[in-house]
Amino acid sequence: MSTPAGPVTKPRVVVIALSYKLTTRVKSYVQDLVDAGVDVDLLVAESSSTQDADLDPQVRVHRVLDVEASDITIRRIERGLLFTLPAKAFGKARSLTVGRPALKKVDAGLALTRRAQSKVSKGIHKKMFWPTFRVMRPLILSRRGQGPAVDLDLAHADRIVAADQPAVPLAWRLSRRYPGVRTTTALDRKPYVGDK
Amino acid sequence: MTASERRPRLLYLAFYFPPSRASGVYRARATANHFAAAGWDVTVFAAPLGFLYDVIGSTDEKLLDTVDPRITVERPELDTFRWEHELQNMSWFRGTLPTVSKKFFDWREARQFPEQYVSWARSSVAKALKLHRREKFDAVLATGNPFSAFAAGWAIGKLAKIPYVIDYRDSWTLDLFKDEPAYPPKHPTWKWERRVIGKSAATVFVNNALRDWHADRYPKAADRMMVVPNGWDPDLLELPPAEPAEPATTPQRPLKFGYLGTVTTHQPVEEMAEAFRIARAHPDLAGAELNLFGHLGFFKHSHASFLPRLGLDAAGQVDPATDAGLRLRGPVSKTEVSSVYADSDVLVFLAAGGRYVTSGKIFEYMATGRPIVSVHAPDIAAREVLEGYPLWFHADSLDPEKLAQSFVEAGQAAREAGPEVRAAARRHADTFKRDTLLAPLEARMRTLVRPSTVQEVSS
Repeated sequence: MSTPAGPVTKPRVVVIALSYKLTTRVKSYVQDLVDAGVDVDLLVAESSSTQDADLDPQVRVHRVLDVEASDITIRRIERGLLFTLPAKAFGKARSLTVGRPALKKVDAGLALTRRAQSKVSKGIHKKMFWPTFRVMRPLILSRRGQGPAVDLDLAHADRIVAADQPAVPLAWRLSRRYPGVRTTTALDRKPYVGDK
Repeated sequence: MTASERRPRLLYLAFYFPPSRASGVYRARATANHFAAAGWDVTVFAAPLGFLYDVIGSTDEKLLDTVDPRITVERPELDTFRWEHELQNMSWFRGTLPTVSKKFFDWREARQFPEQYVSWARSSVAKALKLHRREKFDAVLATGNPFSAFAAGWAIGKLAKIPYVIDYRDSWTLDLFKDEPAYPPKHPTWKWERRVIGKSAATVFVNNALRDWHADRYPKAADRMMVVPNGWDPDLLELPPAEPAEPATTPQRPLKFGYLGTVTTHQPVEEMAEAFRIARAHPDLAGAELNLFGHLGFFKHSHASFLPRLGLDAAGQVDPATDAGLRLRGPVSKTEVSSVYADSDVLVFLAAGGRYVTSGKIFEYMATGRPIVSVHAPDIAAREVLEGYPLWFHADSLDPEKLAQSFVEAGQAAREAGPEVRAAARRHADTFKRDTLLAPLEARMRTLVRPSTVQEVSS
């Protein structure tokens, strides 16, 4: 009499990739895991992160945010102050001056100021805001990502993989919260794929 | 009270040292053993075991047993920041601000020395000075790579006021495969090389071509430069009988050619395959096989690109349409090397690079006393050690027709060479035994030791 075999549990890996787009390296890693029969949860930054990624349908994709540009307050404020508000203000002002010969000089002055303002805004965005935000972004995502990550039942995962640099702070926090789960930055296929 | 001679104390900076089995480890092992046997009190500074086991993962415990027990091995710390992947082991700073911490780490490394092992060099200096305060070292010998060992040798020499010697086991600023400088002119590496060569008591190279290239760049240090070729280690190589197990003269027995080592993209593999295909048309080489023992490429998937170049199909099997007589035999363990040599009638010296490349493999090849066929650029530095080897066959060209002729001549020699020729071949190889080659370096270093430091008063 043979004993019926118990249900075979598939290994489960949670991959966190928080760059704006999935890199080929991450996509190929995820695909290799799926091909090896691993259950893969992929946590990405926003909806557009997996656009055109052509992921295997077996990969369960989760998102920290819907649209980063509008879901992160500081980005909303920055865009409003540097671009939206000035655009509206200049638009309103010029609507009063355009086509009026008496205000021709004022209109030209406004157009010039608008161009200068646009240049300054772009400069501030590129040279000041963006370098600072790039450093802060992983931290912001690590705070916002804790909820979606915890929902993934991490205690029963085999390993958590921080697949890119922005994913490190979130994965580091999770490594403190789940000390029993191996949390790594190595895209190591060996335990699942072997030496093929 | 009598005055007795204290053994001279050597500090040897050799990052790759047993149990590592990196290619450069054999020279380091032999050097340390040679100095210990010559009466030096040797302390080796090597890579931390954690790095060898967990990061590199390429070790050989048996090699550790071949290190002279009189040698003291210390393992200064190495900052494993760049190799650390486990989040649990990362600090708050790195875990929270990964980009900033990486930039800080890179900046800190770059301002010290342009190489990733600089933290080991820094720990080596600190440890050396501590040990030197306890009991004085008489000289420092540093082998590279890593080349931060040279910087450590220079710093220890300066701070402890003792002579240091640097051993270019590998090329640093010269790209061996392009025969041109490996760094742009303003790169900080040049400043460091000028500094370490300028102040060294001697600078050692593995062949004359490399010595000359450096002598041209640093003429003031030229008279302190010397050559210590790599050689072979009799204690690690069990020599096969001078004659193959089954004599090649046995009627009808096809000849067995052998290549032992990793096949790399820089090597002229197509020329070798084509030449062997042509040579097999000769009656003496009818049915001959060229067995390749080793990996194809350095990486797991790199073998695929080599197979068609070798006339083999995607599975590494013989493709009858393109068969050139090449057979993949896979990698062999160190213990099987001797039987590979014993089973081969002729050894094929397939080598990449040009006039600065010697290749360590050639010394073992010569030690077997087997005919050797050269397949490499004609002006390769290995010529200088092969000159005088009576069973060396070379076309001085990579033209397949000419190479094929060398294969045929080597095959004929395998069938016809008598015991005298084979003994002469082995005698030639004996001049390249590691101990023989290291003797001038040991003698040079002995002259650097101040006599007063090796005289101690004892009761």
